[in-house]
Amino acid sequence: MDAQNRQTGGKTAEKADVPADLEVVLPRADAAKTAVACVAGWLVPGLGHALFRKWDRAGVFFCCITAMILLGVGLDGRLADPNFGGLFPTLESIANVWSGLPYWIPWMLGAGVGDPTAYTYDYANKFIWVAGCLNILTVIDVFDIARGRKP
Amino acid sequence: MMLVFSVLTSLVLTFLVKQGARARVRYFLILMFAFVILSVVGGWLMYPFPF
Repeated sequence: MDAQNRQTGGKTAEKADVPADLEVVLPRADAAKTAVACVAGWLVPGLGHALFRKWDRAGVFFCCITAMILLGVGLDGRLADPNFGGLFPTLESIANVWSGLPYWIPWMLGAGVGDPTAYTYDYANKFIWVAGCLNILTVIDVFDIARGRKP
Repeated sequence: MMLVFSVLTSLVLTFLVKQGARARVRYFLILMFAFVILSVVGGWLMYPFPF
């Protein structure tokens, strides 16, 4: 999809009332700002978008991802220690680590020990893992915005 | 709980993928109902299996 179609959401120029010869050039951040935004977006969900003034996305990402991790901890989920000895522990660790500070702060405070006998244990773990996976996607989104691939 | 999970996940995915309020609302509703309905259907389909 070219830049014009990207800007018009895939619509043709006629449908979107955009002149056919219009070429939309999205702003492109330098490498340093890109790196800072990606790291910020990793540590605090939504902060990378906030640096590019994408306030709506920043707010939604911060609220949803943080809420998922806190719900996971509150529902007796386990904030697993980083463990790379096997496929599933590795995937779990990657998901956890990518959650950023909402994972690291409770983990360092000793919260999120997990109670396997709780009814909500399994669901809570899914909340925590999915929050990390979603944060990976938001960091990729920040990278695309920074490189001018996405508005 | 499934509904909370569906709403939060759908919201994030919607804001990642779509621009504009109208497109976002439509995409969010489709995604959320897909989460909920497919979860219930999947649960019923797995019901007879012993594992």
